[in-house]
Amino acid sequence: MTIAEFNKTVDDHADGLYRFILKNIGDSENARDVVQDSFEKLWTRISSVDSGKAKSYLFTTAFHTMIDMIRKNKRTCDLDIEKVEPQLRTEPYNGLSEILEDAVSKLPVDQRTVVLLRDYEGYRYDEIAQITGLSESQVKVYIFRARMFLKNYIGSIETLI
Amino acid sequence: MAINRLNYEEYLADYLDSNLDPVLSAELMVFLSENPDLERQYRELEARSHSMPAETSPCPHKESLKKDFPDVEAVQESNVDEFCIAAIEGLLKDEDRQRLLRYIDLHPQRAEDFKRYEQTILRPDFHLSFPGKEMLKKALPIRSRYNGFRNILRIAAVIAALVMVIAINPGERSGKLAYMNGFLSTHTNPWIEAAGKSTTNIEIRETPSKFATDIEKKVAIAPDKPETMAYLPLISNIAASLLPNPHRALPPVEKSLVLQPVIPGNNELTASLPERKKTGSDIPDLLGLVRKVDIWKTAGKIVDGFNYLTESRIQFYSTLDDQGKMSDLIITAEAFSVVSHKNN
Repeated sequence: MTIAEFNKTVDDHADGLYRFILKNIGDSENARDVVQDSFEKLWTRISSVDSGKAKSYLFTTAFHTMIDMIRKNKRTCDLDIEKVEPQLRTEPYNGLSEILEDAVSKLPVDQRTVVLLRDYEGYRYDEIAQITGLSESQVKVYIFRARMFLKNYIGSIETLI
Repeated sequence: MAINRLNYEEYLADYLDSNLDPVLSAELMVFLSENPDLERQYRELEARSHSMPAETSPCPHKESLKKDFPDVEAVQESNVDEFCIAAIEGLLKDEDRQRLLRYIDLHPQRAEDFKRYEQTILRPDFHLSFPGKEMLKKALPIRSRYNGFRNILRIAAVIAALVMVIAINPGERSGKLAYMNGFLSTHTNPWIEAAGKSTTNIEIRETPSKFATDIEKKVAIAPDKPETMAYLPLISNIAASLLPNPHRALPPVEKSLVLQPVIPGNNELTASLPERKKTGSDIPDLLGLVRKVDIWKTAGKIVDGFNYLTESRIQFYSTLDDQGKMSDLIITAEAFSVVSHKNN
């Protein structure tokens, strides 16, 4: 990969990668760090990563960095934060997209990741499996469960409204 | 004998099914031989069993018994979610999708569920963009940045240098500068315009090979001698002056090289390698300096170096005629040569 191709990869995929990580962890600062870290890793391997595989490399790297970050944060939180009861939303939803966003944030990380890769980036099951290190059948199961959860969540909110 | 007219049929049935042991089979045969009417029945039965259709014979309604999967009946309450998700994931064939839709038509309470499944497809918010994108990008090397100008710069550098060389001692040459005038007239650099008055035949040709290594071997001089280095910054600066905005050019002179002021009247080049100095603003000094250089004398030796502006290697060298006098002055870059024929 040349420097020009690297810069084009920044143009083409930095936004998508940022959205993917941000939707997963919900923290813009951390999402920026993950994206920056992923591109730095790509830069260090610029000679060995083909430009056609740069996107896949970025998402794989970002996913694993994100998982590490979540685990690290979880350990920290477990140590110094007292148990907090899950907050119930009090303000009304402003449309379906907001309901969905709320529902997505409640999905387990694995399910959220696969469904975001599927819908945001249009990856196939085998590609998602490659990025996440899951098996293809696990990916299908997680997507099935995620869809089911999202559908039920939408239904429950609509019922309340 | 246990076999009689009342029970013979059971024995006969077992015999026909090959389930009768040999002793009883023999007794049955004896019994049938003693009862010819029954033996006749037995023969008829045996003949019919041989003529019965084989098990491979097609069942006339077999096709109607087969089940296609999934069919309308296959979509049912227990698996309709799977079918809905498969449909929105794009995994169902058209005909299966039609079957699902027919099922939903028959079960209107499922229509709302299917609609909700369709709503679970997430769409990215394109208003969200990575805020530090430009900072992620890496600077292109100087070579790439100048890519578009490189060939122009190469030609310009070589031509400009040659024009200056010719201008140094106009009295020694005759001829005309037909090609050069056309090129240089668009530029306002007075120094180059003055060079247009020189009288030498000039041709530009593609360098047949990158460098004339045979000449290099004959007359190369040590590159650390100051006079061999002097012309390289000169060429760079001339080329820089041809750029639309020369101030944007990188400092073209090798950092360690600074030319000393020339003593009036001295036509030898004086140069040294003193302390480092930025030389991007040395163009006027260099132009003044070169007027004093006897380039033809210097060109008797090879000048070989690297032009930092055009990022190309440049050589000066000369050729000799049969009498051993200099006949041509040649300036060679990677892709082009400029040959000046000297009239001795």
